[in-house]
Amino acid sequence: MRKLIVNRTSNSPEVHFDPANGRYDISGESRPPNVPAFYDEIIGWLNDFSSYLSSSSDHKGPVEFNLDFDYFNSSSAKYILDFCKKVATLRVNVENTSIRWHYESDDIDMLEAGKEMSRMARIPFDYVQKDPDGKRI
Amino acid sequence: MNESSEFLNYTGPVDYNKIDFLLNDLKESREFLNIDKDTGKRVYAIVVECLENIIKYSIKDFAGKMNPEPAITVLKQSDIITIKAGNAIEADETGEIIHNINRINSQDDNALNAMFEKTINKSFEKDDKGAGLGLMLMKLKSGNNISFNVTRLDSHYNYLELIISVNEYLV
Repeated sequence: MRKLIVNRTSNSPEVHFDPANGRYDISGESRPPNVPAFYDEIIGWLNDFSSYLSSSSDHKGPVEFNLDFDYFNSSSAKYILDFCKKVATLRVNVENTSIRWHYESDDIDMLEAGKEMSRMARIPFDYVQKDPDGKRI
Repeated sequence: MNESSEFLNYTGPVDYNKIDFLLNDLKESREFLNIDKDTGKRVYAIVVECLENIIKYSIKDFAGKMNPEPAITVLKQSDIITIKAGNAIEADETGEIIHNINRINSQDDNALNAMFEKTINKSFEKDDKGAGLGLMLMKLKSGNNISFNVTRLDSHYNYLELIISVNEYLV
């Protein structure tokens, strides 16, 4: 299964999906100029990954998606929700699939946004606190 | 005596590079760094939506032909931070935008959250321009209604200014 690596820019997050190394991370600020195009690539990869998991017995170990946003705009919110819904679908077939939602310990809005995403996408999140400097607690 | 301080003041064309530049200016301004972090994140979110609205709704070939150009200011007076963002829009689009703002303003938080949820779960068409999510977020983040002024420029264009106030949390 191919990797998906997208470098962080001033307005778009880093994406690092690497099944061989068990790393599935999105991190940074999300307000890319073309939000649909940016997330279509990610969701397209997720569809391929889902097909790969269904047809391959090679993959072992948990699939933990780490969503670690500093900020996302309203358009990105729609596509992040779509992403989470896809992960929820993936979870039906691959039990040890999860979403870890990262937030700064004093960022209640980001925590609440995660709770809303989890509820709407119908998948429980694990919530990971970071200290205000961005380090995981 | 009420002191006021300016976080951001810009008039001119707006594109995505300019948004990056303006947001950096905002984040680095001494005034912005002096407000509490929670309020700062809300102000930042509203400013992003305002600037992106300018790109989505501005008349593409209007800037440069006539004044006024797009503009954004962020000012703090006492414990109120006021974001004003304006741009020329098609006269034909004005009614729908105003209708959307009034509809959002008429909702309480629960109803507005339900409206946001309904919209975010819909499939977007190519020309939806966010389907009003940005305006809903402005009210939800600020906790206040969105005020606006519409000025007629000519028979084809109006100038729309949005005014959003955020109350700084007192620690």
